[in-house]
Amino acid sequence: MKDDLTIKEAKEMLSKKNIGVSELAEFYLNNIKEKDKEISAFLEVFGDTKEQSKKAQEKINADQADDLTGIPLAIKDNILIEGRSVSAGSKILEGYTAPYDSTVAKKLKKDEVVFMGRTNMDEFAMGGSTEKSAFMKTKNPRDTSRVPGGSSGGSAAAVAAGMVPAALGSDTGGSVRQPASFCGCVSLKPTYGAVSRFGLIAMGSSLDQIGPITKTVSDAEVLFNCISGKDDHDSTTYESRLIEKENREEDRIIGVPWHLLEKEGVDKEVIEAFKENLLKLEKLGYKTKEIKLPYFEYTLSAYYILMPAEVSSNMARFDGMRYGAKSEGDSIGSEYMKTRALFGEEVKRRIITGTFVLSSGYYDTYYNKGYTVKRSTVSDLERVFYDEKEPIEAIAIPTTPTPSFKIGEKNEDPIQMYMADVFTVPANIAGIPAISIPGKEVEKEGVSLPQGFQLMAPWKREDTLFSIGKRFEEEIPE
Amino acid sequence: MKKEDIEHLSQLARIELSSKEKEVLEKDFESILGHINQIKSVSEFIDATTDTATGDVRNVFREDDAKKELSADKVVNLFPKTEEGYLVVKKVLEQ
Repeated sequence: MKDDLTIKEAKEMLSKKNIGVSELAEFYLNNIKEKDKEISAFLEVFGDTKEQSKKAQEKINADQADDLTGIPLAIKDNILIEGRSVSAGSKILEGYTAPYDSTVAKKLKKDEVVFMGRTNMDEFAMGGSTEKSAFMKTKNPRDTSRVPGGSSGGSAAAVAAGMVPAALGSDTGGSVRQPASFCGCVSLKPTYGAVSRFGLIAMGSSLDQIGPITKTVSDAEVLFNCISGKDDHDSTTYESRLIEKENREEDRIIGVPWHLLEKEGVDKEVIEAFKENLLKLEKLGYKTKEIKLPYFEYTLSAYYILMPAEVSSNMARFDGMRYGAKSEGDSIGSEYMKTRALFGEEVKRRIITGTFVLSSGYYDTYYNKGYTVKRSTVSDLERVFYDEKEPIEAIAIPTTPTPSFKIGEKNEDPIQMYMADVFTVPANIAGIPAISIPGKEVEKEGVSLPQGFQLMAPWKREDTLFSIGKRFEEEIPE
Repeated sequence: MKKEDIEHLSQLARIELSSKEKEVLEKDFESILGHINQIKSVSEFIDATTDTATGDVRNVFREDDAKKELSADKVVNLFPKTEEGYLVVKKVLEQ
């Protein structure tokens, strides 16, 4: 059998009875055993995969398999699966067991997937390298001296190293796209509201979305179809029936905001690789057109105001009273203070920042302005996506300004790490869907490193991303 | 951002910070503020015509019917300290 399968390949093997569900899970357990010693993608490998395989096998035997029946998946450590440990990469949730299923877990269970384990992440999804996990650092399978990206670094590394065919991560400012870009995987941040956040440990509630990390665009589509949909438990969700758009020649215009790439900190090799990716699109019949998105210049600042504000609210629940770790103190007040001291450095930094921007006297200067920048960013996009004469089908931009960096390289100045989000944050701020696909690689110090090609589509238009993405992935015929 | 400001924020956020942590945060804040202060230079705003960014924002209500969602024992089992099914905490009100 091949070293490593896509979801589609695995499904075919299972349906042809070339392999059983339990055997397939066993195969991947062996991959994990072999490779995870070095990579450290998994915080926990579940011991009951054989048990989980039974129902899936029954479904396949009865010819009732869904697209994901029997497929092994890794789940980021901030998504709740009932009865299993979950910690958001944090010591403050030590000993916590999920008392309920997240909606995505419920949907995946309905299809009878096999959950292989929970993957490492930056603590509470705050970070861009997975170095901020309270437990361990994950390495990039393509170059183990480098980071896998973050915060869903464990999930991306697990897929890239062939430890699982696919994984789930979460994306608040790029946390699913950036690690996929660094590790050489496909990943999707759905439209805000496409996938339920019920059972996802919240970071920034107006920005968070759960997304698939896979080897191919088709696999991402399969996972997205399973986990998306309206959910009564999350009133920000909508019913995401994919719109089939006619394949009209005139519509295939890709917008490129060149003004955003002429910035300090964007590697020239990344721009060269990006240009080659655009050439590939043009060979496929797409036209590229320069567009201006003026408010995108401010989305990173707006993000680092709005996100910490929401973080400071969302982290308030971790007080040691009802669940998780607890530090004893003389009074209830001191117990709050001491328990919350268990948060890691980055989490504390963002809570304090958020407390500041929401505090009296600063709320107007920062939070309000951040919110109006958010609305203006949406207006930039409305202008290009809904233009009457020449609507843009999708926007193309590199996923990250640089390829993966060395472990420890960006620990000096928090802003350095934050700058890595410059091309991913706009999609979260605006709520639009965005996909990162492995494009032309970039060479650094003699090593060829993955570099993501990112496409952003209008709200609810994941179908556009899948359609362009699938064509981009194929070899171009001579 | 001065040390007293960091101290005040840590009280608001209910997080005990060591002296070293406060020092580091003071320094970090210079950097962070320098970055987010960019927002002050935005003078003009163009509002969006739709509420698509936050998914057609509107209040969502349902009938006030009790539903069996999460059994109490699953929640109580997570309490650090319980007594007869109640959550035990230190005294909240000083006398």
